[in-house]
Amino acid sequence: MSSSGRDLSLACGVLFVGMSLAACGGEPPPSPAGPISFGAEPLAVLSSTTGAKQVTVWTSPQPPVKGVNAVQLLVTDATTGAALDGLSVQAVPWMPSHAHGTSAKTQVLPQAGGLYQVDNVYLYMDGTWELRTTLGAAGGDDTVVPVFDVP
Amino acid sequence: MCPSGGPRRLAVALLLALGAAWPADAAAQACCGASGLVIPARLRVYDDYGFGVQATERQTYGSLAADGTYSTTSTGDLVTEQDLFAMARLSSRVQLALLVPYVETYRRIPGQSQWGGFFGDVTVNGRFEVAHTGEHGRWPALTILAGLTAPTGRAPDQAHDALGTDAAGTGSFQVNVGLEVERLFQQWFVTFDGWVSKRTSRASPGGRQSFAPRLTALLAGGFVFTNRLAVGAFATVIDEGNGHDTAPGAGDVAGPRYATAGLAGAVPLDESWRLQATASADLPLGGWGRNQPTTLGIGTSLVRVWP
Repeated sequence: MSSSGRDLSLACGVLFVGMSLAACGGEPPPSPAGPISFGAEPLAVLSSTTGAKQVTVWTSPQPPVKGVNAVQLLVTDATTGAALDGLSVQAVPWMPSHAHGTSAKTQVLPQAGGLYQVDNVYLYMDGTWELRTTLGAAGGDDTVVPVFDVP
Repeated sequence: MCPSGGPRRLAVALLLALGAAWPADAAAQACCGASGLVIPARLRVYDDYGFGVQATERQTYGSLAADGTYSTTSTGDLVTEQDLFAMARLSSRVQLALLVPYVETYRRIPGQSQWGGFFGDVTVNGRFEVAHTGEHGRWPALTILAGLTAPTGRAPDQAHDALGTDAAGTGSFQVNVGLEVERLFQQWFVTFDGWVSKRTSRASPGGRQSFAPRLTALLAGGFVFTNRLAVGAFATVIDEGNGHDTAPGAGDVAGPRYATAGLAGAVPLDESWRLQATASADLPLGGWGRNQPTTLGIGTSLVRVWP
């Protein structure tokens, strides 16, 4: 082997020994740390972007932690207080200071009385997270953005 | 090509070798930081081309919140990185370097953990050496820096792992321009790098997020022993202003701000090979930094050049 060939082999060896460490990974997908349970006191009460809706937010656990969380939203009409069922709700975790979201998708489970439960909210880094939530309706979409500080 | 012989030439060579050691720790952070302008790929004035590998490991031990509050963590990410880089001198004053990183992350949340890795964002850097050390008497060496990082790595929201451990990219291009000043004082040396970086915008849920320019300042100094061993210390300050997100309910987004300090050493094995090492820490300066995990890092590099 030439000198250059040996040099290249040595460098590649150092590189790929390190790379091989990553191949050891892989464990089952994470699951919620405990059973989902929402308390009586909400974490926050927010107005939607248009101001037409009021959204009360609970988390499980509350406050949210680094890991897998669940979020419950109570959506009501900001004027009448009537619960709003039948909305098409989509929620995406987003870390604004780092400009990225998560690869895991949330699951939204509509419930009666204007309640929507958002499962699989992966907040896997310390810092400020947003749950960018679209409240889809026939009369036009609205949004609400609960903010979580994960210590 | 070296303007001065003897100890000065030796000092210059080791300074460059030492200088190549620290930028990866100083300028590239966990998941969300972008690649730095200065990479561990820098030729001495009489080198024609070279290549090398660098292995680094960073352990997150805390974080700085958006309001500057510092808190510790016992479940911080462990990030290892292997960089393969190559550099070539195009003329007596111009050199180019290419860096390809491979990044692995070990991440823990309660009850679960994952390892993952993937190739990161590829960086091309250019150096235009306006004045070499000793070329104009006592004036310091002056170099114009420029770089481009391409989003070849996966962004966290494009990862395959649920915890994003196979994410190794930022999801946007980044352009860097800067200036480097170096000055020798016998066997002592001081280097200052200052540059500004700008990321292209990227899609966010319901909108598009743009970024403010990021300012970076790196100050380094050290000593070269007669046996050619070089040791030094460095400090880096990074500050990114407020970006903006057009999504409903979003708005201005404060970028990261943090400081890093560390030690470095370089051992030339012969005229062609050199071995380098660094140890660094992001400083837990509560009330000053923001939006950034704080890490402890170590790194080693092996570099082969052809003078």
